[in-house]
Amino acid sequence: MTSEYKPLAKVSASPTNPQPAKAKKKFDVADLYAGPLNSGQAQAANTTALDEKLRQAYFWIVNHAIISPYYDIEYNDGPPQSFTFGDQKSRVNLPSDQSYSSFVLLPLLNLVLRRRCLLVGGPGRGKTASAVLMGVVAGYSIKDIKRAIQHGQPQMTISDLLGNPLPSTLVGAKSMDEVQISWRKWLGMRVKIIDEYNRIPTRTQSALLTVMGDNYAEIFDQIYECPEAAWYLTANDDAGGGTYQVIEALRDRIDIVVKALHFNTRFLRELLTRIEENIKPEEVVPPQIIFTQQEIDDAYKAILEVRLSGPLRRRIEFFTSHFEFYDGAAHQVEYKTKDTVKLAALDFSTLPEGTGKDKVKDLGSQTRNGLSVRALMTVLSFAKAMAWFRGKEEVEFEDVRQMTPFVLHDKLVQEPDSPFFEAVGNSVFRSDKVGWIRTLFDLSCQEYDRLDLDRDDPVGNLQAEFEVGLEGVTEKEVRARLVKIERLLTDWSKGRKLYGHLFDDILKLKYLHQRYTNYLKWLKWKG
Amino acid sequence: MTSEAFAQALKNNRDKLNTKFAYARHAYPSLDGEAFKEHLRLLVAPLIEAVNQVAAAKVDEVLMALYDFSLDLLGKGMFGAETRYPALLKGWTQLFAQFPQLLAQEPLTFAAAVSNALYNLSINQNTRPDFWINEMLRIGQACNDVEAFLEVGKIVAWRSGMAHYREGALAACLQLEPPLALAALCIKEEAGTNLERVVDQLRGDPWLSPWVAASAANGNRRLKITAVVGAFRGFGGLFMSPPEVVLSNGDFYVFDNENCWLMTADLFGATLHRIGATLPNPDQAARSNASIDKTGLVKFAEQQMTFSELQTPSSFAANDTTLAVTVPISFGVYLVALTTH
Repeated sequence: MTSEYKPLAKVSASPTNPQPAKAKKKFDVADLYAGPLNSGQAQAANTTALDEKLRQAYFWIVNHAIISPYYDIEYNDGPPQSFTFGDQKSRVNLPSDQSYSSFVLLPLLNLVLRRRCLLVGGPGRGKTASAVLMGVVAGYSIKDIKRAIQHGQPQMTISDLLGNPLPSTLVGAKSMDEVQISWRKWLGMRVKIIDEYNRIPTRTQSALLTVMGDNYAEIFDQIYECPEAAWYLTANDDAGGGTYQVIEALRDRIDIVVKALHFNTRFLRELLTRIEENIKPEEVVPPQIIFTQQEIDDAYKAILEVRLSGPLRRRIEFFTSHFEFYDGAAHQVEYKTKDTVKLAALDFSTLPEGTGKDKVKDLGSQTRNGLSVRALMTVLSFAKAMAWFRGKEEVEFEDVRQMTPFVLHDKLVQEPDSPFFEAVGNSVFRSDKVGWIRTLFDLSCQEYDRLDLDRDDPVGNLQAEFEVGLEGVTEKEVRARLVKIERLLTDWSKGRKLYGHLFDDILKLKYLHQRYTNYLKWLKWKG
Repeated sequence: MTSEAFAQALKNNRDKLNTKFAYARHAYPSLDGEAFKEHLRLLVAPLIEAVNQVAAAKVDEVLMALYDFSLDLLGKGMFGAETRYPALLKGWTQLFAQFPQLLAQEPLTFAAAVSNALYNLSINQNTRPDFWINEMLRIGQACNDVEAFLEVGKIVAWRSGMAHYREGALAACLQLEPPLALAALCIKEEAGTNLERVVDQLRGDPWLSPWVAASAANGNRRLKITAVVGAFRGFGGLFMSPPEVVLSNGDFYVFDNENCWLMTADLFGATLHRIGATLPNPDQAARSNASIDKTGLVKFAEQQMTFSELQTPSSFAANDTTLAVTVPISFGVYLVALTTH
């Protein structure tokens, strides 16, 4: 039996992700003008429908524009059916809830979050086409967006990238202030595309870093303030195969990495139809899925309003706490971090790691670094965006689990010599970073559950107590709290091995102890 | 003969239009290229010519909108010789041709909204799409922009039988310039006509006509069967068996042992909206001012009258303005109300 080709022509009917009905709908005369034809304007006026509009954009792109028949972002509302194949025990899940293709979904979320997305993968896999579509969805014409693409190439200069001083003002200028710059048009756009960014010379990369990181461009002491924009960078080979090594600061500015997956040969028929009928999806993006600047701003605000519950936040804290700690890095506890080793330009193998720890169990042993504040903020933003996209008012566990690998893809540097990768079935994670980070997250959650931290989190309890405030807390009470902290540290110091999560907890206890000590001093002074 | 403006617009957007058609043909396998060409020539070309006369710069934009919508409507079988929605075709040929300036102003909004309105008027039983078209042809001349036209359209849709839009339509009256709102309500504008007072009166009585509300003398009122709603499914109605009626949360619900409908009704018509397979709980407090006995004697709002059609009622329910009665030998729901004689 062959599957019928059912391409392109219309936007998916609402609701694209049906949710339980909240209340009986009242008659609204505006429904007179809702029907089989969709002008797009009706939705544009309704900010509450923006998540639906983004879903429609997603489904239009996957159904009609980009052949990406993958559902690698899996959601389940019941046990999925699973099948295992081959010696490697390759597992195939059939998700029981609406699932998504990361290659289309993540660039769309990046558009409304106005972050920096790197599309990686071999040539001809639709990376640039995807970025161009994002520009069209953001309201630009094909012509404008194509003209604005910055094509990385070894001769690219800062002037090529940012603009040129006007020759007339350059000649006549008595000071730098008088030089006028003809800025490149792409700097003012809300979607910025840098094609093959790893072919840009290092010096020009630095100029690009300023625009990406600080949102302004500078030539001849002249400043151009850029608007908030969604960035799309592409690279054929992001692991050093470009013409130039990408400077670390620039890599660090990239918020999310998306892989262009291979072409599934079962879809060759669609390609044939596109050739025969000269189909150009980007030319016919339906107006209903095109966002105005205001809509993107409103969507961003709506994403920020999505709630993240305390228990889920704790799981994220616990997960991220594993990686920075390195016992052998320093004498004083605060400096026992991988960053200390890195700043000293030493190799981890030359330093002792804590003894007696199970290195397979110690998730921190799998990385060479910890997570930056920027990375954590990006995880939270994308988790919220994912929940919003799914029509939820609160981030769910699976939203975090699904977004984390793509955000941390280039942020967590793998330690390939970790014993973890020697274990049976784990060697694949040396190349599969998405799978590796998701497994890390799962292992972290298993450990979290084993420690029963949802119910028994003494540091969390002490923190909650502290967050109530010190106003009116008596000296006796403060002393009691100090004793509690000291007892906890005493308990932990008895034979417990030091892992990353414990390291953060100990530092938190030290922080609380110091705050109470200072308060106690103040109470005594006050008399 | 194809107009020059139309030919030029086709030429300008050739690649895009061909791609759109290619997409549509895959989505709608029955879409016939020749029929579509004929549709463009006979229906769209004159409209483009009309738009070219009033706003030449908007020709391409209008063409793209009409082209997209034509593909959708033809693909879904809503246009064409065997369509179940003849009003759609009439709306395009008459309304679009009559108001090219509005089509040029906001092609997507105007074309989609008018088409959707005609579709909704066509799928509701007992509503009158032709009346809507004729009224909009009459009143639309006075609309300066699409927004005003669509507001008027809401009021006229209510007057075309969409009783469930009554509240929204009355609210729309207050959004319009009074002369336009009065025209939409079919009230002859006279000095001293107070629109707000008229709307207030209409809100209080679903059986009061706008023109009576606008006149100083409201006339005598007496009990009358104002409507018979519904019919046997075999005769094009909705009910499988003689229905019964209840009042729940102030709304009328009708049940035929298989399905339940919410019923809305007023002077301009009645609509039934399926809500499920069971009746909601009826309101506990029986209306003291409404009763009917087995002889068909109705006592309602301090008046009484005997209706032979309503003998041996099987169920009845009443709100402040309307008594709904069913009888075992009829598939209709009889509505009795005080109306102006």
